[in-house]
Amino acid sequence: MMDLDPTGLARLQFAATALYHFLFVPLTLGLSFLLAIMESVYVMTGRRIWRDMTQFWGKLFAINFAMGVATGITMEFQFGTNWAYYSHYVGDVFGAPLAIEGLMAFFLESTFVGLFFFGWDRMSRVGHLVVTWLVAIGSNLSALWILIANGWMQNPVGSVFNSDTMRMELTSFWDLIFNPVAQSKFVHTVSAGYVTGCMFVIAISSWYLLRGRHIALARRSFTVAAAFGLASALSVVVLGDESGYVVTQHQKMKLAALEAMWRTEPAPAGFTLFAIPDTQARENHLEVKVPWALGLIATRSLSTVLPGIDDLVDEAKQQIRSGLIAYDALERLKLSRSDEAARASLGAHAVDLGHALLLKRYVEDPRSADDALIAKAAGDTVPDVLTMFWAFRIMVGLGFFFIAFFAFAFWLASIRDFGRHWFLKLAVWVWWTPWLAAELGWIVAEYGRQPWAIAGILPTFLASSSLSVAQVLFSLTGFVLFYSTLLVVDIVLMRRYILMGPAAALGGAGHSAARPAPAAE
Amino acid sequence: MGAVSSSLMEFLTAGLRPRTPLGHAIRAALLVKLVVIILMRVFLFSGDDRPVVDARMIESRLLGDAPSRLPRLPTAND
Repeated sequence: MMDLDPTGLARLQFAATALYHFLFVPLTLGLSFLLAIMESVYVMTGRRIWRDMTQFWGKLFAINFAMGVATGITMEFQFGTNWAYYSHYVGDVFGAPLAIEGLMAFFLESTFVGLFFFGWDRMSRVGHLVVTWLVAIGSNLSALWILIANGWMQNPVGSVFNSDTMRMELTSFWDLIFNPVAQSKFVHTVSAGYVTGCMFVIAISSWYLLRGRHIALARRSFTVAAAFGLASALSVVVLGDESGYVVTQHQKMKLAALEAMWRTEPAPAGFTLFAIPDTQARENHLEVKVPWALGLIATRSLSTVLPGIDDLVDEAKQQIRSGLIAYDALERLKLSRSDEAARASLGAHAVDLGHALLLKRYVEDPRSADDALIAKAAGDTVPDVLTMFWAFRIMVGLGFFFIAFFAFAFWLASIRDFGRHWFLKLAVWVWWTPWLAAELGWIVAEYGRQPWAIAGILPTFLASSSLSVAQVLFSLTGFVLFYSTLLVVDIVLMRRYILMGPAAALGGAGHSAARPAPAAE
Repeated sequence: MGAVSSSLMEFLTAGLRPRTPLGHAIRAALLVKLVVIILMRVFLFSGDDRPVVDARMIESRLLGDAPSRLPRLPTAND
């Protein structure tokens, strides 16, 4: 579990702000595409109701955007305040995509959002439609750059350690952008955002249908969200599978931890459907397994062996020993920059330097560590198995629920049956589930990265600033209070405009949306 | 371009003269955020409060301050 020392509190602060920020992001990602689809239908058919729909959901998009905007900035501040060593050590690499995202979000995305809201009666229909699509594409591109930065933390490609500057330096921007971990995370994450947007629209539409209000708008919104939601839910699971495959290639310990696979199994490994992992005894109780499934999903082969946690810990011991050679070479370079033997030794073992640094948690000079300490540090490479195991299973379970939910919604929409009260009630009750799945996804990704700030490069405890518990606790309390206030304002505003409905929310413009639908509709 | 620039102009001035209750609410929320960000800039990143980290600090963090006196570890070439 997380220690409540300055590093633990800094992690908690970052996690809290990131998870809060990600309450807004998926809805922005999903709603923006739904707006673009609705407005496309308006431009193609010329029917006013589709414009009203775009404007009504656009209003809720505006509330979400306004409350969410800048909540991510605090994370960038935290890199400076709480993660100063991290920022210096990897800033040359990590800073580039982060800066591009900032420029995109604040100039490109915000400009198009402004045009979307204030250009309705000034721009041509097609011109405004182009703007709406650019809002959607722009918000997704912002996500891309953030996930490129995050993907590098999971799989640090395209960079090397420079012993002269004592920092990581970028060697290939191309490798950074096309990092397979970043790319698979991007498509998985934005698809999850689309599911969130679709669930939001279906839930509110169902609520209107249950009360017999704004029927025409609700039916059409339900239909669009059901169709896009089904495609997105299928994408989330398929792309999540791809994400898992990439994890198998680059983050073996994370995979072993989320499967609670303590020992290496003969290929193809079974998938644990249910178990109660015992982290002390390093075994699972009441295990229910699907034979072969994990091996097939994770390696797409019948013969590739997936290493278990114990074997990966043994591997980590070897990496620590190799890293100690790099550490020793670095110490010798510190005494003499012209020591070419040391430089060559560092070059040969630099890839494992981060593993030697794990020992700094226990001993000032890692080279003085004995076998017991090395074993202890190697044991630290195992993330919290219990949290990983259940967070992953709940997330995957929700993913399959979304497929069933949207498939049924799509079938109802295709036969124009909007009167199944039990389903409409279900839709209202489960509106929050995509947020839960998305937050659990981040927990799996980031908790599973521990004990590393940068996988295999920089341990988290060395990345944090030299702050006191009181300092971090003070800013953490401030963030929690401020963000909770913003969340309350967001919910109050959303609720108010949902209760108002389209006619009132659009200031009387949405007449067609407010009218009851003709029987033929 | 006239439509684009006039739309953007209205977008920029909407913060000064919001015309709807929602506009007022959004302006208030954005103003509070701006104030918080400025306060963070002032109190978290000013003068002595700013944690300064440079190459020397990183070296000290990763390697320690004292020069090495331990015997050299064997390498693969030894």
